[in-house]
Amino acid sequence: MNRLLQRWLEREKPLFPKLRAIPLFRELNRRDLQAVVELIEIRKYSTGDVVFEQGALGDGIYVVLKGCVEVVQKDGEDGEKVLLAQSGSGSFFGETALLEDAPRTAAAVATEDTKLALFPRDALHLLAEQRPHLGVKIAIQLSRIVAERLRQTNHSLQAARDELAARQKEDGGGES
Amino acid sequence: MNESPSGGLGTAQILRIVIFLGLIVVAVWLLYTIRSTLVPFFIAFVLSYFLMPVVDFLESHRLNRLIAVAVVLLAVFAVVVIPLIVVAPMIVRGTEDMVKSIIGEQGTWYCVVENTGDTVVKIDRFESELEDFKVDGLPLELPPAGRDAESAAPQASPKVVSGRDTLRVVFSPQADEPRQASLRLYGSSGSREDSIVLTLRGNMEDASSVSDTMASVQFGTSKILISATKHAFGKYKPSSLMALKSVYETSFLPWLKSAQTYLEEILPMLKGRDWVVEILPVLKGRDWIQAANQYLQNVVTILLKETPGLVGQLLSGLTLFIIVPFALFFFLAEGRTIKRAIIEQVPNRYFELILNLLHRIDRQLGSYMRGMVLSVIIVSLLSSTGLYIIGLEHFLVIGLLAGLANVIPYMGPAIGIIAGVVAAVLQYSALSFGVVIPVIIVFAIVQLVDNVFVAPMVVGRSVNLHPLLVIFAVFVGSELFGAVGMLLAVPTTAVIKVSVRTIYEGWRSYSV
Repeated sequence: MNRLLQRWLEREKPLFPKLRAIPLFRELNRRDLQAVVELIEIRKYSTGDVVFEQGALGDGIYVVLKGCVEVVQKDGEDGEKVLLAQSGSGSFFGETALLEDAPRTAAAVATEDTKLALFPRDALHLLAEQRPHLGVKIAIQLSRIVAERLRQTNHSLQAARDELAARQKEDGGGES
Repeated sequence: MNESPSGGLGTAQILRIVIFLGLIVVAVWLLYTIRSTLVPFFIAFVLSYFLMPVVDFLESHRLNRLIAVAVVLLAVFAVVVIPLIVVAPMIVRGTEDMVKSIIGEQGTWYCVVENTGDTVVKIDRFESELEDFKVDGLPLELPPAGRDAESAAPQASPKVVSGRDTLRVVFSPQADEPRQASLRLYGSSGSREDSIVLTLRGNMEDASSVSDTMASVQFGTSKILISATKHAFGKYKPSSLMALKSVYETSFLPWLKSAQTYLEEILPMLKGRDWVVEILPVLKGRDWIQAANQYLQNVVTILLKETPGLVGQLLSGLTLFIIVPFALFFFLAEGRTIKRAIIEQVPNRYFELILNLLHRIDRQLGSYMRGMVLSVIIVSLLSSTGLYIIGLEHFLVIGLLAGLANVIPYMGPAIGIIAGVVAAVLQYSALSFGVVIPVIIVFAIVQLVDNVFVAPMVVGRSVNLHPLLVIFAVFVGSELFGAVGMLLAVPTTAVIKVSVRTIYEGWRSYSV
């Protein structure tokens, strides 16, 4: 059993720098990272494999350890697909599932042979219960990420509004 | 990109679903067949849920997990198991005593019969004047005796040198007083029917007054040598069910009858009211006394027969002291590794769904199981103490039973009270307020403490199931798995409910 434990620990060790590279776990020390590593699930995907479907139950945030994943949103009934993001090694996606038990708002597909780590929502709750300092660190990072995304969204929304207003002005000017 | 599951289901997919469902059915059937073996592992599993937070806590305070597990197990051992070792023999003895007094003692006599004639003797049935005496080991076929075996029955198996065999005569007294009856063994030899009479006695003051003497009897066309045709059993205690029956007949039945006559007296006064007209036929039919009588007897019999069995099963040394700690250690030390190994087998497509399902089950069951273990411990201790104070002989057995039964919603407390009352009635061989009221008071206090002080403290005693569903589940559980099924009904139902809902949600999202 000890041997097994050791083998398992050795296998996961190289993860540390990769995990620390992503914003969510940036502030964690070695011991905290060890606790995180024990709670993440590592999965391998081949090219074209669906990581999750749009509308499926989400369980946590994915970190790309190797390879690349495309996050795609299907719009409306006709199913026009919009590429939201292309996540390469070291990036993450699906972070909203870390906050709420809601369906995925987009699908994720591996575009090459990919290795992902899933940090489940329940793991966050468990950490917050057992190691509050660690839970707070991750939660603050998570809020930063979400705030950043919100800022981006606001930004693009503002840009879209400006464009729309400009277009309406143009149209209005032409008619009268 | 072409998504396969959109639109209708392909043949391959339907086939896969069918195979999957088939596998589930096989798995459930397998679990059902080996259910008794699973009990210790299940106990360990529930306990691991109870102890897991402690181990996690120690581990988060810079303690190696294996050491943390060892520390927790040793602590549990010191606090629970050592006192239990002292108490366990008392419980086991108490249980045995209870079983003995419920089923009653049995005397056995091995009666040897030998065919000394030269035709095959068959004994196939018996008739007894009293139910107290019975014979096991029929039908019996005795080939002719050894000397003549070769000539008389060449086709007989060569192993049988002589046509000798034993009959097991069982004496299970129905009452305390001396019993005497003749028991007739019927059979045939050659083409002739014949019978032997055994004169049996039991519960005699002086059993030695009847001496067993070997006898040779003509039986059909053959001769039988029998170790004795007369036998006397010593003193044996009758089943206390009989005592209970007589208590019931002497004190409860008259009360029931007087209640009925009273009812019949007041019925005419109630006439003219609508609701009376409706229930009148039900009340007038006298069958209800008989029905209540029958029902009560059935309930009591089942309860008494299952109780010691359940307690004994849970406490049998092997289970409690070897398998449970062993399994508990592995669950605590390697729970995550085991879970991970299972999850690794799940295909990518269903991975998140299954993980989500496991987490939901964990959330639903975790606090429930912890709460239940705590509640069992507290209620057992309280009930045992209370019953000890009022002087009940089997306070440990009944207290433990009440604690375990308390897990069963709605019916649990009632089971505890009934078991306590029955034990008190058995102990005093009387059904009176003086015997019953103290037991009821003890359980009332325990329930009060449990509901007012323990329940709010213990998080998650309920699993968010509708009361009707809970009762239904408990009945199904008892039907399928007996007493253990009743204990496990609620958590199992909760798991099934969560699983079905999660899989349904997941399924719907895939076929959007």
